[in-house]
Amino acid sequence: MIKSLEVVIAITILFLFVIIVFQSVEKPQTNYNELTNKNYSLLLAKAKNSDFRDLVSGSEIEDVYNSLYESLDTTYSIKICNSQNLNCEEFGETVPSDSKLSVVDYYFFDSNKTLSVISWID
Amino acid sequence: MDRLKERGFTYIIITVIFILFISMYLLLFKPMIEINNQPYNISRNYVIEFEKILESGLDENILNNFNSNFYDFIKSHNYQVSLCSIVDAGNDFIYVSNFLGEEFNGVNNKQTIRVRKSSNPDYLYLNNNCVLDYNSPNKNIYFLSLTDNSTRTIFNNFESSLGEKILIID
Repeated sequence: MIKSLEVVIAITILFLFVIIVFQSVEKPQTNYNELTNKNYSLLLAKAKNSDFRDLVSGSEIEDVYNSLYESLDTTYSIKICNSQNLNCEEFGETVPSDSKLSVVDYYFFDSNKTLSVISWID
Repeated sequence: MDRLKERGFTYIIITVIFILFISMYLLLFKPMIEINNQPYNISRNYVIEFEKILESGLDENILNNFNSNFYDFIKSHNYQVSLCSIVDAGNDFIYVSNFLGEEFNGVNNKQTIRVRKSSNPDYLYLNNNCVLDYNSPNKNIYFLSLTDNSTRTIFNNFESSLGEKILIID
């Protein structure tokens, strides 16, 4: 009976360990997917707001950054470019070169500009 | 050793070895489950901007510029794209915009034309993916197809089984 109990305990420990390891390996990728989807949802909602659109049209980049600040709970930077990705203006935190980045883009037709929100998890 | 076996420590040792092998496997071959919502989000971008230009008024040049710029925007995200839209401008005019990759029904690729609703009764047909049914609640339709390496995603706002028809361009 003692041997059977040891076997059950051993198998239970093994399964728990496998589950915990799978969860910990999958979680970072899921975090970035969630972050990207959350940022897209925010941007899609903001794009319907005419005040926000006016800020993008006027390339008032600091005001655009500030208008996103309360809704984004990660470190981020923004970029506004014309449609050919020339003459881009950037504002926000310095984008790290060694971190995984979440990048979401939105194209505004009336101003022919693209707004990019680049965020990352510290 | 017999005492250890009797106490079942062998099972514990085997379990620990299994744990070590599984850990090494997972560290070397991390399983990645990636859910790509980008096509959906790009389509929402298109729909929002499409509705904005309908509100502000358009002509064939504006619609052509819109679809052309959005076509380039989607291409910059490494998708193959085909799109079309048909807009009822009122006053008997309908704009037909073809960015499907080839000529259909007399409308060249990357071209937007204006046709008369009265010359094309009942419904307006560009191809099977782009049909405006005058009796449907949608007066303005779009079709958007995004293809990456493995997946084709289609977005549209209509359903049609009206069949093929010749487009009359006055």
